[in-house]
Amino acid sequence: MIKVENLSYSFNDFPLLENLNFEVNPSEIIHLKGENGSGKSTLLKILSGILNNFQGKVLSTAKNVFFLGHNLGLKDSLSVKDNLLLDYRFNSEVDSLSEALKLFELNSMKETKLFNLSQGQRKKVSLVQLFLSKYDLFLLDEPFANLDQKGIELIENTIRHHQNRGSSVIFTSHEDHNISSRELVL
Amino acid sequence: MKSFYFKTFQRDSKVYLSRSSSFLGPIVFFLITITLYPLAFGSDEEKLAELSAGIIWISILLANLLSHQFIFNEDYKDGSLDLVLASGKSLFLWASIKIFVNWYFSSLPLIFLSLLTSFMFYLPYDAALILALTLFLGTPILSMFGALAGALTLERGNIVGSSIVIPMCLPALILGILAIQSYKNEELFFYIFLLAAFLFFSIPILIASCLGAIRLHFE
Amino acid sequence: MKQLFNQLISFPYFFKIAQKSFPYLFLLSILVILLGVLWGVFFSPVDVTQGEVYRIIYLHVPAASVAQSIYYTMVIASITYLIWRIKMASVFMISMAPLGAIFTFLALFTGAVWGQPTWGTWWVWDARLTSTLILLILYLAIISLFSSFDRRASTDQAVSIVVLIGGINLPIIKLSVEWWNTLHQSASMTLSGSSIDNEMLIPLLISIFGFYLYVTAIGMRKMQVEILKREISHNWVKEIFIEKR
Repeated sequence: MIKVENLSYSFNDFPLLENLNFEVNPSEIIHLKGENGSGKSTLLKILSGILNNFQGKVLSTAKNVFFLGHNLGLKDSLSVKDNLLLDYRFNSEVDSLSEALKLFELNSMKETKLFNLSQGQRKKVSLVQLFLSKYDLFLLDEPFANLDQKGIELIENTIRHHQNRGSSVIFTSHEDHNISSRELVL
Repeated sequence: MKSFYFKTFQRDSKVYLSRSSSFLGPIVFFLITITLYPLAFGSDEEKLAELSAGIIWISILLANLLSHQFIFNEDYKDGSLDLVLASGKSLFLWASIKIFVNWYFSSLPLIFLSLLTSFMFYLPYDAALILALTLFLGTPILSMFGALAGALTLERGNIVGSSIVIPMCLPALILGILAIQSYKNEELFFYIFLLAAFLFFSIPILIASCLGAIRLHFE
Repeated sequence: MKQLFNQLISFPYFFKIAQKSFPYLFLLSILVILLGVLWGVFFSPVDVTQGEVYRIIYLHVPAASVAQSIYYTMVIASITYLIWRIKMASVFMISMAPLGAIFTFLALFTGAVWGQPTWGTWWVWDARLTSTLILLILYLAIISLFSSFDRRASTDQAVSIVVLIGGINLPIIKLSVEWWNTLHQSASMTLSGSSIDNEMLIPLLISIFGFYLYVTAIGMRKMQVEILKREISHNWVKEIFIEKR
């Protein structure tokens, strides 16, 4: 799915990533680990094409890439529904939306403006997007942060669901998760 | 499934509509600024008529500066820009749409308002129409320079941005005022033509520069 | 030729050259300026219409000339940076912009001092003065960009973009200011057209030459400082300063 060769990235001449080599196969779930500031988020941004000033090679066969960043990309002044439907990543049927919202217990807040939601609820909104979207490669930066146990299980199931469809997932997290097929430590 | 660009248009439009401050802000600012001029210069009819075109143009220029930070800065802060870059779509059209939506919600209302307020400054009817036309050609230039300044200073405040926008926009202001002042002469067409040419050449150069400026923050 | 260019854009080589040539260049520039200005002030004839006060042109004209030239060289540097990513070009822009601002201010200031006794006013909104004022604002706006970024490369690129757009825009601004000016008032106070006597011209040219030498010298010095800021952790910097000790 994706192959990284001799990837290096530096910020203001300060090397953040040095000579990374790894490969991600289809249907593989990679748990990206590392201390704070080790470049996990940066690596995900490079793989998703947001940052492109790196050295080395990133070869990808993924037709499309889903990125979930630290900043969720949601608009405070839009409703939950609009935030989901007008998201650039939304590539599913509109009908599937309400079912997903029910699953994440957000159905009653469909028309609520996002600034009324708590941090955890916002996170859930962006995870509905993750649940609905069909992509080859998922790059998730801290998908489990700010979530309760129920939410975490929901995400684990979602990730498995995408895996079964043949997608690859790379996620970062500080806790251990038994869904990952492989751990990658930076 | 809606296209990427249609989503951009709809999303931005909804954001503007849902927040009264983003489109009412420039209007209020414009109205308060033009009220200041008679208070400062006196209500002499002849004097105001002479200054009117300039008053309205300057007020719109300043009112527009308020809204430019909305074009790219919010998308940068809330992470939407990450998603745009990750989408791998052509950004030229995307940036054009964003600037257009900003212009549509913050400059277009002001153009209509300027037609109304021109009578308060005793501007002749014909000249008022020319005023609206020059604003129609000139305000997109302001929006694009504003977008560029915003794109350059995504992380920092807006003050740096304004100090770049205003000097760059001077030709638009001058040509606009000259056109209004020569509304009875044939020179009018010369100035209108130049203003249109300035707009025409600004579009590719400035939007490409905007994209370059945005890329700076993602290297 | 190409080799020489490659050497000049390498930081260590430029640094050494600048280090060696600065004292001579600086001294020479001071001497030339003194020659031009003293000649102009003490030995050139008095202007028939303006009297003694015209002699400020020996400062004013060179300052105005340098102020504009710096911008044009910055535009060339910005293109060089944007196309070839030559770091020296951005070092040049960042070092020269403050100098440009200072000389633009000097041109405006000496112009005002000259204008007061000659035309009875410190300031007129004529085309030349107005566009010089805009040039000053542009320089200051560029300088204010220097601290807007976390990444040095971003600063370099942002400055290049603004310098280039400003460079495209500057002639348009000038032209539109001229149109504005002709519509609003008759251009009675322009220098152009009035022929200048040879005896005044020669010291003026010497003074202009001196100003350019001075800007070159100071510009090189500022570029050295900028290079040190960027390359402080590199070995060649350490070598130079250890050698010194």
